[in-house]
Amino acid sequence: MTFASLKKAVNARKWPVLIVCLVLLVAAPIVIQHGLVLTVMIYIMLYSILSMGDMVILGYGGMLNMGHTAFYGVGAYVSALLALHTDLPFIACFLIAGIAAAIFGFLLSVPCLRVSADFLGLITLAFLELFKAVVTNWTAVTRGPMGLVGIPSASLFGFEFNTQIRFYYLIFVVLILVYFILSRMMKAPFGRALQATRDDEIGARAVGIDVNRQKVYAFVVGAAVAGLAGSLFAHYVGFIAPNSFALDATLLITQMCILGGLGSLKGAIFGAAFFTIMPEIIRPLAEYRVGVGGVIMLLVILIRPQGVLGSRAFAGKGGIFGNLGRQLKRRQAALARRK
Amino acid sequence: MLLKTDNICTNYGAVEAIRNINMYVEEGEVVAFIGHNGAGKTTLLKTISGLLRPVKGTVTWMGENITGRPPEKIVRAGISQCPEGRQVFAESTVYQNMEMGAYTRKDKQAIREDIEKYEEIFPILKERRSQKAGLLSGGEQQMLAIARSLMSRPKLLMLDEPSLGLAPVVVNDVYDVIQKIKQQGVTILLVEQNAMKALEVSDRAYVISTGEIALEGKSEELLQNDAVKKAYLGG
Repeated sequence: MTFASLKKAVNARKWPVLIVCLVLLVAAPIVIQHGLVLTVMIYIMLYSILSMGDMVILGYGGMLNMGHTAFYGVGAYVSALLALHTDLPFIACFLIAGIAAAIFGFLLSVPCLRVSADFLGLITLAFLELFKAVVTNWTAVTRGPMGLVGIPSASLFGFEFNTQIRFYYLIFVVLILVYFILSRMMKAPFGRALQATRDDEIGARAVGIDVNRQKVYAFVVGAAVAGLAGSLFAHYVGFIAPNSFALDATLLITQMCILGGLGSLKGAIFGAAFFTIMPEIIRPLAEYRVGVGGVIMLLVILIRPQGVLGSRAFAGKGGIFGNLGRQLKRRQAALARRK
Repeated sequence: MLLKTDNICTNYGAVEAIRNINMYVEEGEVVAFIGHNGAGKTTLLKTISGLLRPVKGTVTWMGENITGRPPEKIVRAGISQCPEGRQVFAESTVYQNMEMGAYTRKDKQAIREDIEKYEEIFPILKERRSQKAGLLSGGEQQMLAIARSLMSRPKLLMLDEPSLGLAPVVVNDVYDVIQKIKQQGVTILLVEQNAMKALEVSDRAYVISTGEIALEGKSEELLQNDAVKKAYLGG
């Protein structure tokens, strides 16, 4: 069974598949009751939200965003500080975290409009390092490397999400909401215009799209989603430190997006699941685990450049098999000519 | 008068691309700009559509000064440019490309009707409706690009080198379509290296050479002009 036929089979039975998945996910924590498995599932959902945010910028906007964990960190710190020093309820901290990250996304997008993809990567990377430097050194507020401790767990209307199972349902609901909002958005004029800008900037301008505006919006939306994820993370773990928001995490999220497939929200979720589960399975390999991720990325780029569920916009010339196919055709043509 | 430029000068850095261009387009006309590679034809179009800012001079659109406005405002004002090299959204379907052309409009029902209308004028687009635009041939992509620019219901359609990189037979197809659009009453500003084709389809034409207007007049007269014949029509 090839991948294409599998995809077709799933698409033909969209609703039944969706309902079965939902039921399984809702029932999972009650059935499983296993601490580690639940933790992994929670992290999958957390990374899914994060990489869906990055997907807007990187996958739909085609902008190499290396500062994604900075938005995540802004959300986490804002939410944690508000919860520790004010009486605001969780929901307010959560939303303000999203808004704060969105503001940073807006500010960062402005210099990014003037540069092409590779320099954009450098600017966003610089922003990430800047963020880390600030939270590490502004000890009066962030307590620097010691981190913020005792962040209260999330609560809604007096109900505390203080156990794994309870938090599982909270993040599950947020994930579903984010997914539906983003997938609507990407099909709405904004998302279409953003993808048009990614595919052909001149063409986009010619049909009257303000390309800069789409890019700014993409950063604002992507950063806001990352900020929300940051807030959830802070209230789940109860402790945050600058180390949680390092470059590794950005690279991991980028890997998730690329493996899952740029230009696909489902791909972001797939990538998040893959790169969260994989290290757990190959745990016996100990320190060699780092290399496995690298090898997998290489294989993806060689074999399926658009990622598992990605848009063909990123397929290029079909990777190594495309090249082999073309070479074979050329040889066959040459042989035929000789005869 | 629909469009008028007064003493337009546009530079690329320190290099002057066009100097003191005075031209106008009346409603319902097809006006052609012909000239060699690098003469400044595309620069003029880009200046009108807002992609470039002139260093001097004004662009007047329906009595209003639109010099230096951003391209998306100019599209909304009713000038649509069909860019050089087609620039279709390769990953979207043909139908989605046409929908994107109507990005500035909100009237869904009318958009659908317009798409149907242009699918009749460009039958190939109907046939390929759900195919990715990147898989179309060059000529088909050019048709799509033209249809896409018409989707914003422009008062003025600016075509930049519609015959560029197409086989001669396909060039004829593209010009048949331009003829059809002309009959629909769309005003067209056409920029073209293929002088013969451009002069055949247009009412008036300007010959542009090293950034300045060298000649202007009725297209049929220019077709008989000895200098034009020698320089652009191959004897």
